[in-house]
Amino acid sequence: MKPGDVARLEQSIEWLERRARELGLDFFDMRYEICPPDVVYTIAGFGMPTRYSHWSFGKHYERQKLEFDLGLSRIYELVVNNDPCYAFLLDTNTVLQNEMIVAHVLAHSDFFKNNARFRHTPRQMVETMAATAERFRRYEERYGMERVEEVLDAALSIQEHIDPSWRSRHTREPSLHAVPSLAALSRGGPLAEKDLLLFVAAYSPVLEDWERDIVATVREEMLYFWPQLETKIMNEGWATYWHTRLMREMDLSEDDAIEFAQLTANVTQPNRFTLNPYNVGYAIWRDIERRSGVEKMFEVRECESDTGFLRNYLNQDIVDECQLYIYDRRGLEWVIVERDYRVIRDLLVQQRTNAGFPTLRVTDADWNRQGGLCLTHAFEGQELDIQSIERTLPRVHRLWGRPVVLRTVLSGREVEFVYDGDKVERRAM
Amino acid sequence: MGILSHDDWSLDRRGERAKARHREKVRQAIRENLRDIITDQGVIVSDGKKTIRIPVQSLDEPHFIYDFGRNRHIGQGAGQKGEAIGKAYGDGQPGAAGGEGAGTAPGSRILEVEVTIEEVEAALFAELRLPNLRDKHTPRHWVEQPEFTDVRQRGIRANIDRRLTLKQALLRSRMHGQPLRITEEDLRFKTWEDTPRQNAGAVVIAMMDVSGSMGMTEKYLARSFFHWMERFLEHHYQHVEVRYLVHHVEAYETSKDAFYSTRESGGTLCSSVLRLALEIIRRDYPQDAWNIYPMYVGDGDNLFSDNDLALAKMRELCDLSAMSGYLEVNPYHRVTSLSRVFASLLHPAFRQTSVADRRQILDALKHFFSERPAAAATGDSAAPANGGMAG
Repeated sequence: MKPGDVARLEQSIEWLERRARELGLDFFDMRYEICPPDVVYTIAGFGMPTRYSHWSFGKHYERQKLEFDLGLSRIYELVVNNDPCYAFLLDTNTVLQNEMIVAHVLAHSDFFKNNARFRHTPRQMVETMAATAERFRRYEERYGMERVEEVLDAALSIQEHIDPSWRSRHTREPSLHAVPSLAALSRGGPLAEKDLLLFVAAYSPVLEDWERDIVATVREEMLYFWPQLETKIMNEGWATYWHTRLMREMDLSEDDAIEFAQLTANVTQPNRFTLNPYNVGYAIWRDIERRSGVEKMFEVRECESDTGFLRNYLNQDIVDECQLYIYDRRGLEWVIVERDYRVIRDLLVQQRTNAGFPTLRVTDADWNRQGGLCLTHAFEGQELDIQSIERTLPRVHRLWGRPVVLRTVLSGREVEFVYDGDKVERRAM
Repeated sequence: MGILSHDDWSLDRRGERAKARHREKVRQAIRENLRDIITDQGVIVSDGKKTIRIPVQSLDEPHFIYDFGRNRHIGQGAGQKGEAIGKAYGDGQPGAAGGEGAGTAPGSRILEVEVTIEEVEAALFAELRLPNLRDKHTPRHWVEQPEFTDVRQRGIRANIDRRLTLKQALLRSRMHGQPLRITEEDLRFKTWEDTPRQNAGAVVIAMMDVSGSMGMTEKYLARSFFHWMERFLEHHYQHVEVRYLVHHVEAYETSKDAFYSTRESGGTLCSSVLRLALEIIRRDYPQDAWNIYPMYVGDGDNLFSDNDLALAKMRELCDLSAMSGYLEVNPYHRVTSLSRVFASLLHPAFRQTSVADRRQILDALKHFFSERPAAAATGDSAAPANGGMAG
């Protein structure tokens, strides 16, 4: 942004916020921070402005910074689900780019505030994470960086194996100190615990208290991020719909109008090998608007997540407009195999279930009478990657300290992978 | 309305710090993967280049993920049913070779890291030494060594000779009957000269079997071993001579280039090359002036009638040398006649081991070029060079 642009941006923000409210958007108080690329990429790498440090965040930071230096950067938005809601704007962006981002993040902020999945997310996460970072830093001083890193590495490896439905099934969040004993748990019928992180934090026979705290904290953060993973298509589509609408109402010069059209085209560009959530989400929202009006849109943004959004509102028109297809492996090539919306819809819903992660359940905490931890994959037709199993099991072992087992299905056969602290063995069952 | 702020963020180093930690982890991964690196053809032929790209098992936190190659996926674009949209590579990931497009290949696992040759070599060779190296009066090898030999009135402040300066100040103030004060003209500076100093001369006699029984794999293993041996010598020592001998039924000396490219065939008379080595040593490298390292690499095949003679010649070499080595390249773990013969040679200077594949070359180097050989190895050539050797 050039000097003088800040004044224009301030005016635009005032106009955009007022107009967005008139159109029905209901967002948190906004805090827009203009920062240099280094800072924006740090926050993007860490996922949050105040998070604890981990080398994997450094890797993301470096990759994004490199792309920026090479002119390949694609970050258009960085917004935090918090009250007040923080949005970060690059000082190297043009003022028009930043105006578009403001319009875009207003809709995200509205979505965070009103979508049902976000109802229980903490809205002071920026402060909470700052406190966590401080606590982890003290652990590092006390127990050494390597040990803290080891536990974090392991916990992050299984961070997606939580049970977000805890929040709807129970009024109170289960506390580490109030979990039933393992014996009591197993009396209650066969074990099938989806919240692997909670289970490990509560029952691991080897973890020290500070290590349990790290595992429990990784889980807390994942519970906070989870609704964003579950509503990716909806949320990006919603923001794209509203930024397009708001920007079209703004009084743009001819140059700005062209630049804006190019930016939107970039964001919504389809990809041969994955679904672009901006593109498909935007198309579905416009289709709902066409068929049922804006009222209906607000209702849908309140009640649905991606699975319901796709199941209820994806139709052949949208599939044709977005040129969606299913591709599959045929020998040495990937080949288009399906254009019918029903088949595409069912596969998409399946892929978006559990936010796109395989569902694992703890089914035994005394495996082979060695106190081993047995995880069972709820197989629904999608096979797991063998190498990923072999590389992840040792991480689980770091947290559990006894043999760890993963049961799944490969080529129609039930198999189990056992890691005993030395090597991974694979057995047919 | 919302608040627009433009703060000073210049002190925020979190990204850079986390990045530095990631870099450190990458280097650690390189050290852990040295065995794979040393066997990489690309590294071996990289002479002259300053940096190499090394594939490192990606540094991501592994997760339980779906197998991309065995599942169906959603994409967007034109095309009829049955139309191909891309090649599926080994791991099933689609995408054009070389270029990773915008999110086309989720989570590719190999991370390429650029490191300098020096970095790799420093890590590889950290543990390697020429064993039993003694200072010898080798006429050909002198090194320049700086030594403080003189004191002058001018020089670098860092080299002030405090004792002499104080002495000078005392002397001057006494002579003039003044209280002690150090002035500019009292200052004395140490200066140095480069004095030539004798180095511990060392020579490696590289001997290789190039007979017909040495197949492609065996020759490759043998040359890899010698290649890395030379790199290690260059890395650690300023002057080590290497003589190159090859043999089938006859032995002869070659140039370095020829040594690494010779294709020969024929029978095997191991004693021939050992005898030639003895001749060269007796002619050119008197024992009191040289540390001598005969290093023989072969596949263990030898003419049966030659075995006794080979053993006798090897013993003679051991008597003359700081260390004599026999490396057997043995991809199929055969029990060979030569290894059994040499196993009976219980000489303190003799070391023997075998390699079955490329991953064991580093272990073999450690076995020969360390002060003490790993205990398990000597006299048990049938054992592959991993396990006990590494320790």
